[in-house]
Amino acid sequence: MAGDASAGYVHDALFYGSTKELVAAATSFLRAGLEAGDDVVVVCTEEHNHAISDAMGANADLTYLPRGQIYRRAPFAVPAYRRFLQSRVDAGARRVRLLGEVEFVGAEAPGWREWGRFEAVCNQALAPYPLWSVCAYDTHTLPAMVLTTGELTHPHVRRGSSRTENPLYVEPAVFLDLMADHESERPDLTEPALAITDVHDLYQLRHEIRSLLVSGGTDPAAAENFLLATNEVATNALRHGRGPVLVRLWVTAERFVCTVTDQGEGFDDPFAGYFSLTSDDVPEGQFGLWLARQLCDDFTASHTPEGFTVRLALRHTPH
Amino acid sequence: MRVDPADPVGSGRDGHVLLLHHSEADRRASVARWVRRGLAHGEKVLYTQRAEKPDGWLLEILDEYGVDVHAATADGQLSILPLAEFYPPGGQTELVHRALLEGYRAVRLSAESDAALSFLSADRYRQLEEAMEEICRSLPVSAMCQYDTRTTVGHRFLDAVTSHPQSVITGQMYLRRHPDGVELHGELDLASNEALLLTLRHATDHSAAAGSLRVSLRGLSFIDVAGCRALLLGTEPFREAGGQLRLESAQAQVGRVLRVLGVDRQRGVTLEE
Repeated sequence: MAGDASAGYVHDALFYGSTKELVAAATSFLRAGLEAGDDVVVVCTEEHNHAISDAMGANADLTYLPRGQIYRRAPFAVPAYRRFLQSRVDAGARRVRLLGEVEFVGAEAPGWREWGRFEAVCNQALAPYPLWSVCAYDTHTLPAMVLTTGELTHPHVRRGSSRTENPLYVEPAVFLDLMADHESERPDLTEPALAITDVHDLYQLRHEIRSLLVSGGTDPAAAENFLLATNEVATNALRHGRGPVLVRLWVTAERFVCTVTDQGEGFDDPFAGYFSLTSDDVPEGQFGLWLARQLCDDFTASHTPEGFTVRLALRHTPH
Repeated sequence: MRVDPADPVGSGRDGHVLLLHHSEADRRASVARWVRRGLAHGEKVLYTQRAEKPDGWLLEILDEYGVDVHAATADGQLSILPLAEFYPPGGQTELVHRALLEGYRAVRLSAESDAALSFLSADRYRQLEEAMEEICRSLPVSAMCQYDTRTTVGHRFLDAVTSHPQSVITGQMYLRRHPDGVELHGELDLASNEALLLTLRHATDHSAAAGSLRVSLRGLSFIDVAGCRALLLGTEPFREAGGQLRLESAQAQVGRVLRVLGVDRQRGVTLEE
């Protein structure tokens, strides 16, 4: 494994079937890290943080972070990880080893697409950092689509005590493309509640969207977030796309869904919208997309027969 | 709930206001509100437009917006003047004085810059804008100068903003300066970000001596990324030179967006609630 001691990012997936398997794989990875003098960080559920802590012994020099603090949504997590890693490097860390647990509840797993994109984007966004991370996937409880995204986004996979190169790994840009194609089916969508065929006035657009979002007992915070996300994507289409800009909105019992279509080239950068306002390497037009990604469960950009389409979705029932 | 100077300000005095409109519908709505507000406050309202436009144009809009046009024109409170009378050779002070002598408590004027420029040279128009800024400061006069954003570009845009340092209405934003700083009302988005940016640059250029610029967000109900960028870029040279941008009284949702985007963490910015 000498090759893995290089300066850049090493990204593994661990597939496990029980807490015992997780703890066994975790302890061998983390112990090797302590022996090598790495900074060692665990980002799991509280239950698994405890189990790992018990197995490693109370004196082991590990950092435990609550998972909810670092991963809320991908566009937030990428800069959060970068800041975290930079602070460790600045404090003298040779390398950081991180064990993170993947957690999704329910078969529908809202947000799994954004999670998959996050896994893919990390390969690029974290490449300069001396990080070795293992993302732990529970094969018994996670939905099939989440497991599949794990298979496709990690250059190395671990099962039991084996670690191998992953033949299923695809380049991040290719993966993001695949996800976009996947989205072209819209099974939940019937007649839209709103269809504006030539948007000019964002205020008018917000006014019409707001009135549909807040009706029927939806979560007001979700409505405000979705309104802002839609505003940003429409702003981007008006500024950087080509008219006419077409906006459609659906409000189902569980979700808000909105599509914004323009006749322009779209943004070819598959990483558009994954970096934050304050990071230095962001082209200016991307702040809005970054915010929109952060505010939604799902953000997909693709070329459709109607033009370049961004589709946003957000679950609006209070959890 | 379009931006209405009537709501935030209260008193009748609106000063020298720049209207940067994005469409004819946008302009019609703003003109109707401007005139209606003057009539409601018992002010003399003077309007002019291009020679080829029928007088009925304004009256129709006002009627649409619920103004009793008949009453207003019959007693002379509302006058639509030819360009030559609206821009008399001796300047607009005489126009204003004549209206005040009729017994009105205040005078309110409005015209399109394109109409003025069909009659006056660009230099003369600039002089009149400067004079109007002074008239509005010293007399009970409000003037709304209508500029079309589609033709007001480049240096004309800059001129329009700098010649109206006190008040700007554009998109859904109403910006008003006062000795202590700036008040923002309405909603900030792509329709107002450029005007906001330039106005803040102008405001901070000319108050460089003061160490801080207070921006009241009390009347602001929406802000997006474009709006946040305008707040930051508009004050960037000022903050780089050590100035403080103090964002005050933000409504909950606006404060949340400012924090999510990290505006409050930028150099020289404080967010006070």
